This record gives sequence, structure tokens and C-alpha cells, in this order.
Amino acid sequence: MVPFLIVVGVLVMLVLMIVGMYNALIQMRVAFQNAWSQIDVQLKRRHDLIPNLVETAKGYMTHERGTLEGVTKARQMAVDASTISDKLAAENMLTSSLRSLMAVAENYPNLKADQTMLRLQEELTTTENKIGFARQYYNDEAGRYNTAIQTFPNSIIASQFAFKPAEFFQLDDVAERNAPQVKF
Amino acid sequence: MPYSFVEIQQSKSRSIQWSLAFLIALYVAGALLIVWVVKYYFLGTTLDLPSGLRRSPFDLLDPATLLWTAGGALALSAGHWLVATHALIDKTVQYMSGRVAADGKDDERVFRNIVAEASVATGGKYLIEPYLIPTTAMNAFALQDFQGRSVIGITEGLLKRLNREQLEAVVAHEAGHIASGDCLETTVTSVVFKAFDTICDVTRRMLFYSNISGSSRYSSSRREEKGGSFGALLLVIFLIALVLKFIGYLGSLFISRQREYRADAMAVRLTRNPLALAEALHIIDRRWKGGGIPGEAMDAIFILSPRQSAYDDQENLFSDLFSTHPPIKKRLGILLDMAHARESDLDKAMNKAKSRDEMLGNDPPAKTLKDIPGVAIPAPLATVGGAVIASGLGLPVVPVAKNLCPRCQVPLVPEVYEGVQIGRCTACLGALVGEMDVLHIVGTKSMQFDGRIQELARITREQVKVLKSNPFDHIYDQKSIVCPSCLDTNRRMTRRFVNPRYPVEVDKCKLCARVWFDRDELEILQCLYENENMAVNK
Repeated sequence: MVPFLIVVGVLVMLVLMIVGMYNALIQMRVAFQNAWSQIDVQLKRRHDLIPNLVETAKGYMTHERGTLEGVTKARQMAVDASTISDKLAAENMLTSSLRSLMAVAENYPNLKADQTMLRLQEELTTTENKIGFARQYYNDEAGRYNTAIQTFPNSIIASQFAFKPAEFFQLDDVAERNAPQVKF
Repeated sequence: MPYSFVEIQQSKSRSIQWSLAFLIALYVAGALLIVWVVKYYFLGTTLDLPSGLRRSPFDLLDPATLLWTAGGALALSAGHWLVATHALIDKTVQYMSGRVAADGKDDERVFRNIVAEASVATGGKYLIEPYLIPTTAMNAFALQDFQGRSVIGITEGLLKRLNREQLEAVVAHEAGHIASGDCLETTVTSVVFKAFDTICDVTRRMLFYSNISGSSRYSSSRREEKGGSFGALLLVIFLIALVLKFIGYLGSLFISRQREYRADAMAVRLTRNPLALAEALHIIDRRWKGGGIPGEAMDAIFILSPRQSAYDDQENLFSDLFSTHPPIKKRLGILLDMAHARESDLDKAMNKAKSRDEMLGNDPPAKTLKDIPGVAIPAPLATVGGAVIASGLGLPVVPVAKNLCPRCQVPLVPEVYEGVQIGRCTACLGALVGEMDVLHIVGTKSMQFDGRIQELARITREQVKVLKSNPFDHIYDQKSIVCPSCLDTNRRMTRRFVNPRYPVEVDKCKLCARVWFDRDELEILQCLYENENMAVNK
């Protein structure tokens, strides 16, 4: 009788432990998926900004058809992308095409002084920053989740219940944010 | 040291319980002391027993007395706690005349955007509200309450003088405080212990005013009537105020200096830009940090302490206990190390600003504008009812009615100046302006100033070094004028500088916060502010 009770007790303990670990993993998975949706919100904001930006720039940049079309095309691809890896590629392309647009815009003093353009530029800056911060937060959460499913004993549960590792949101060119020019 | 926001949020520290316990202990100890003193000295409870033996003095606190004293103290401290922490953000922000940053103005929208970015950086867990404090001082703070509402506030001076990267770094620092939870404990502790400081301030002001009127020749007769007992009472009040002040300082026992290093590290983690934060701290440190403005008593919530204290620059046990901020040099050193820069680099970058300061320090003429030939302000002359009045600058005039020029006793004419309503004296061209309106006038891009104003501004600027040695000394003038709006002869306007950066001497009413500018002084102030800000922004 006593050995039987001990075995039952151990089994119950084991089941409770597994349930606890499983729930913890689910919580982490929800957390990083939620963090991903935060990035999505910001990316969508960027997509909404771009038509206005292109429209404003068109009035001044008569000789830069190619650059402007490149931005529009990259935006369309980013909007259409559905899987995470597609999205990453498209967003990276959009980022670089926007960067070249901004570089070209430097040559148009009238455009740079345009009030609408200045506002759009500020909006774009803040959106880019938000994307960066949301990405950082997502990567933090994804990293925590990945660590959890790969360490023992969670790894047993993860493999049994098919917890797949999270994909990090990485940028192709890790263009460090330029140190600011000090102006006084 | 946690490395991500996820980890930061998991390792929140909580020392609020300790400050609550301390508050209760303080009240209980205070109440017991008062009860004992009252019983022993005032009620004359005897210690002699019928048997001829003497009881120990502590026997006066029998269990029943102990119980009701402790109970009362407990109720009082609970009341204090509840009153202090109720709607604490609204109250604190209102206390500092803060307002939500407007969406309509370009520069304020940048600040709103930056705060929204910080919100995103914390995983959207905190909806941080952006607030602005209307003062030319430079500082930033974060507040949080038990309901999870959080606020990041900066002064308008900071908004105008920092570039976007520097602002991002400052806001990220404050967001670091909020995410790690030390903001909540700092806010609560500051608010709870601020009460003692405020009581002390009020008492000191009372004492001060009675002194002022006591030494002034107008009320010397009144002073004699009141006699010495009043003075003794004031002394007792002053001593109590000192004790309260000390208790207010004790609040900082619960605030660790380390949290500033931690918030700096988080700001760098977020923005990946240690240099911008170093620059921002350097700029703030070299300017007026807001000593003297409301909210100064809550120095722990700010990025750099607005109070000038020698302890802030030291590292020993006493400083660790009583200072809320670590030495600025050390903070800068850590940040510069991260950026692989040296302090000389920072200094070089700030060279222009620095050389401006040094230039002015050559030979500061300790003169007032009135002493300088050629730019002397003419004595006001006015014709009132056919009689010519020459009051002579600065002579105290006994006011007869409201809204008369304090110098010439001519009715002040309402005038719209830079979009703000002011009262102008048509005789001496002085102006009466509300305190908040001064900021508005100064902040508005204004017209060109003619050569005379420029010259006056240059001379005024040269005095800055003199002021720097003792910047917060208010200058109390025997010949101070009476506020035309309040007409309170007991509380005359005080002669002081608009602020140490802009050493224009004005008269300010402590009751209604209106400022009296003599002829040209308002224009000089505008000119100074404009010159300086143009130089900073370009």
C-alpha cells in the first residue's frame, strides 16, 4: 500500500510540474507574439506615411522618378508580404530605399524647407525609432522564449508539444545609429 | 544588472514599505515625545509617590497612555499617507504648473513623439504622458503612481536647448526609471516627505517676512508694540521648522543614488547613444537646474538635482545617505567610457558655449545699468492733472489706488505686447507682466532690437559672472515697490533677477507672481534670450 501511494504521489507531482512548465512556455510564447504585433502596428504606420511622403517629394524632385518609384514599389511589396521571412526582406528593402530617398532629398533645398516635408520627416523619424524599439523589445521576448525552450528540463516539454524557436527580427545592414553631430 | 526590459520589469525593487514604516515610526515617536513633555512640564504630573519614593520618568507613559498615543499617531500617519498619495501625479504636476505637451506646436510634438517612442520601448506596458513645465530652467523628471499612471516631464528650457538625440537620451533615462519601478518609490517617498519640507518653508517665509517688515523703517513702531514674546514664539517655530526640514531630508534615506546609474545604463541600452546622454547631462549641469522653483523640494525625481549641494559631488557614507544623485563627474565618466570618448572631447564639443561664458568673466563690472553713462535711464516725468510728478527711480511711493504705476502713480494702460496683455505706464514706460506671460513673451520669436537695446543687453550680460558666485541670492531692496495689483504694503515686491542666466533685475510680487519691468528691461530680457538661443540652436 505504502509503495503504491508513493508512486501515485510522485506521478501527481510530475504531472503538476509538467503542467506548470507548459503554461509558463505558453505565457512566454504569447508574450513574444504580442511583441511582434507591436512591431506590426508600427510597420503599418510607416506604410501609411509613405504615399504622403512620395506625393510631397514629387512636387520638388522632378528628376528622381526612379528613386520615388523604388520607394513606392518597396512599400507595395512590404504591404503584400505575409510570412515573417518575406516581411523581413521586404521591410529591409523599404528601409534602404527610404534611406536613399532621404539622401537624394538633401540636394533639394526647397524640399528640405517645405513645412509638410519637415513634419513628414519628423513622423518618419519617430516611426523608425518606434520600429527600432518595438524590434528590440520583440527580440528580448523572443530571446527569453528561445532560452526557455532550449534549456533542460523545459526542452523535453518543448520538443513533446512542438514549441518552435522564435525567429529574431534582424536587419540586414546593422547601420548603427549615427552619433549625433554636436551643434551649438 | 538586468539586460533587457523584460528582465528589468521582473526585478522591480520595492522600498515603499520601508518609507511607510518609517513615517509611522516617526509619528509614534513624535507623539510619545510630545505627550511625555506635556505631561511632565505642563500638566505637572508628579513623579513623587505617596510612599516618598520617586518613580522613573518613563512611568508617565503607562500602558493606557502608550496605547492611545500610538493609536492616534497611527491614524495621523495613515491620514498623512493617504492625503499625500491621493491623486499624487495631478497634484505634483499642478504644483509645478505643468501642462500636457501640445500636439499643434512643432517642437512640442517632437517631445510627444519621443515619449511615445519610450512607451513602445517598454513593450507598450506604460502609456507615458508627456508634460511640460513652463520655466527657462533645465531639468527633466518622471512620476508614477500606484495605479500605474506615469508621466515624463521636461522644462521648456530643456525642450528649447537640446537637439533630438539629446532629448531622446533624457527621455530614455526617465523611461528607465519608470520601467524599473524605482520611479514609483521615488515619487511616493518624495511626495510623502515633501510635506515636512513645505511646512518648514512656509514657517521660514513667515519668519522672514516679519523680519523684513521689522527692519523696514515703516513698521518699526509696530515692532515695538508686539514686544519680545512674539520673537520668542518665532524662534520656537523656527526650531520646529528646522527639525521638520531635517525630517524632510530623511526621506532621501530611502532613495538610492545607484538608481541614477541604472537609469543611465537603461537609456544607453535603449538609444545606443551614450554620447547624447553625456552631452545632455553636461548641458543641464552647466545651467540653471531650477533651484527655487516649485518642486525643488522633490529633488529626487529629477535627472539632476535642482538643489546645489556639496554632498552631490562626494562619495562617502554621509553623501550616500543624504544625497539623491551621484556625482555628475562619475556619471559623465561612465557614459563617456561607453562612447570611447574623453571629457576633453565633450568639452571641445561644448567649446563654443564655454567660450561664451569665459568671455564674460574677464572683468565683470559690478555696476548696475543706472551707473553707466550714456545708457542711463531717464527719470520718469509725468503730468497728472496738470502737475508734473518726478518720482525719481526707486523711491518708494505710497500707493493710493490699484493699477497705478508703482514708480510714477500714473494709471497703467492695458496693452497687448507679443500677444499678451500687459499693463504699461505711459510716463516711465515700465510694464507689469504676469509671471507666466513673461515666459510667453520671451519664448516668442520677436522683432529686431535696435542698437541701444543690444548695447544694454551686452552690458547686462557682462554682469553674469558676478551673479554666478551667488546666483540664488535674491536682492532685497530697501526701496522696494508695492505691487500695483495687490497693493499690500506689508509684502512689497522683491527685487530679484529674472533668473541667474538672464541677470535682468526686476521687481516681483510674491503674492500674485506679477513682475514689474522698468523701462527697457523687458526688451533687454527678450534680446538676451533671443541672442543666446539663436547661438545654441545654430
